[in-house]
Amino acid sequence: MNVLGDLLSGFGTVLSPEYLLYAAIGVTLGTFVGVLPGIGPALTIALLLPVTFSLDDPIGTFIMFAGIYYGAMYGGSTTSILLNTPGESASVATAIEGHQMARRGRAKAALATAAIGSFVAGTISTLLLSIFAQPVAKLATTFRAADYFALSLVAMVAVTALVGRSLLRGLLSLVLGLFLGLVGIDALTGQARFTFGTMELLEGIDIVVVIVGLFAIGETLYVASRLGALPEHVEPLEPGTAHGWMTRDDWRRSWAPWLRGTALGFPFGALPSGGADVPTFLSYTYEKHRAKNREEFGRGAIEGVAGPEAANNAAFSGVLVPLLTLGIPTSATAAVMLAAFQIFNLQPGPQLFDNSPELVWALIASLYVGNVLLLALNLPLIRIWVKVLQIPRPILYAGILVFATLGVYASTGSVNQVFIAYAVGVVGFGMRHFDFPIAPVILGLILGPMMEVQFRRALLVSDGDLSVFVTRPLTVGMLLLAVVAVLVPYLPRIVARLRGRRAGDEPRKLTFAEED
Amino acid sequence: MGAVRRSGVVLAAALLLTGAALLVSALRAAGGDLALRGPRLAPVVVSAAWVVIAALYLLRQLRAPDEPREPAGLRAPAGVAACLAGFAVALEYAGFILSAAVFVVAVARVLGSRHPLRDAIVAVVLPTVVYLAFTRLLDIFLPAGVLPL
Repeated sequence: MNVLGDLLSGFGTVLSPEYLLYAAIGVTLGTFVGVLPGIGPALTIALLLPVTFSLDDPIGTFIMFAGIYYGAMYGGSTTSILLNTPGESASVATAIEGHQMARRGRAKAALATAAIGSFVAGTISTLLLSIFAQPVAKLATTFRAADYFALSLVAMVAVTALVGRSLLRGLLSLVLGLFLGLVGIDALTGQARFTFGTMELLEGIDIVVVIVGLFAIGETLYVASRLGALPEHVEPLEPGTAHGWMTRDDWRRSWAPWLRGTALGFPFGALPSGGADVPTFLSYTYEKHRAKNREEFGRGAIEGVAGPEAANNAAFSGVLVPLLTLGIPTSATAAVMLAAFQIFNLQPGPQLFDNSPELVWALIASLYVGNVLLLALNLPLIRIWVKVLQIPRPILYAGILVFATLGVYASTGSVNQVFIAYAVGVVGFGMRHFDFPIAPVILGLILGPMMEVQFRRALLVSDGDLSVFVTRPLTVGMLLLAVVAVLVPYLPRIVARLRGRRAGDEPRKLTFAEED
Repeated sequence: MGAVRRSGVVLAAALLLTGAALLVSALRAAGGDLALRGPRLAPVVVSAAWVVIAALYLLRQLRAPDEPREPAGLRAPAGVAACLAGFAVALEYAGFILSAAVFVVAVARVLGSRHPLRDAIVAVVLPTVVYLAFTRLLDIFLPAGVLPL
């Protein structure tokens, strides 16, 4: 079996009229929801999960999801540029420069460099995914329970350490997620845990309930708490298309950041480092330092849009590597994708490539197709997306709440679960207000139970001998990585201490993002 | 000002208490059985970690409180929460379309809308379209309630 043959058969599947329709529906829905201010890809997929319940065709569904995910990202960049409200932290860098460009009457160039950059990065990184997925899956077949335990730990710790301004707050978010993951019946023994004597909590707390609660309900309550303090002015597109979207100079300044952004995005996405947040900020910082016209940064430098947007898209294909080959989600959005797999009783991991090669390769092929569709949809239809941005806020948030309630009710069939989602939403509001990052909650919820099962499985094999976690170099290496991940944000401070500087002028903790 | 500055300390203390309560509950459920391979270890480990981290956070807040943040307006969020609770209670009795319609008008008002006619039109059209799309096209059950659909 060679990659090219597999990929071609994937294209053979996707390029049927039915699946192309799925892909088109996916990218349109994704862009539409992604454009709505304050809604990121994770929530988009969570809200649209119920739509798939009546579809009994996993291939079609995943083609649609790939489209939704890409669409949500393209749509998110439109919102960042025209409204300056990034829906997720990976768009923050785009919002900085892109919005400045829009304010200076260069909205079209900013939108174009974001869209074309996303296309270039998406295509290259999907190519890399096609090449690397199978070898990594082969390698993953040698992984044992102890390795999976260590890997989940790295993914969880890295996200917590790298996202957000304070490690302590990130860790508190993480333990909240771990706690939510424990609620319900233990998978191995059937014992009830943290159910506080209620029947409703026995089945556990569903990921959809938590995501909808934190992102949709929590976000709306937060918006309500600061009515009038949020940006509402949509920057206009400059009239006329006489000059096209990008000038020759724009192209000259964009192509290299696109490629560099891709080069940063894919590996960081593939490593357990929390998805797109780190590479987009690295790309932004790099472009800023290397630019000859550094004073233009902060006032609308096109490089500052081109690089991070490319990194953002490339990171998504990167995130699919551990998700598809190991079944380990490394970002909030990947965690929701995993939930989607589980609805169809599919377990991502090394076996997926053997058991359902048709699905995997159709999914990968649909990423190429989705990118082309988005390039064709996004820029020509920009005026429609601007209209979506202009939906009055009270109506918009009322609609989001209706869909959030509907999403939970449709996927659980129970009003009790709706109330749990509302309660999680109130917690999410508090977290937004007090600056606690959201992503660690999601990853704790998904990875915690996984980690526990692997921990106990490893001990079952070793007959209770804890040394199973330190006998294999691979396991030890990953556990060390988890330690390093916690220390990385404090490196500047540690270095300063070592050089003997006083406490007062310590540099602050390195940060990449504020919110997921 | 003082109240705003202390809110971080109060939050940290509340988190610590919650963690302690969870730890007690986990220990009680374990009843001394904390086998490495058993189901009772993880709740204890997680809630113990919660307690430790919350304690560190409390220390940090006592020594160097966060920058005072803008106090949040609580009336609108409380209004939204009340609307949500009403929506969820009414959903299965009054049906999706009716409860969602009332909900949209109410929430839009809480969020500062001053266009009752526009809200009313949205409140009728949106739930109806969603209901028909979900129940007729996607075969997903939504409560019909009192309306003869």
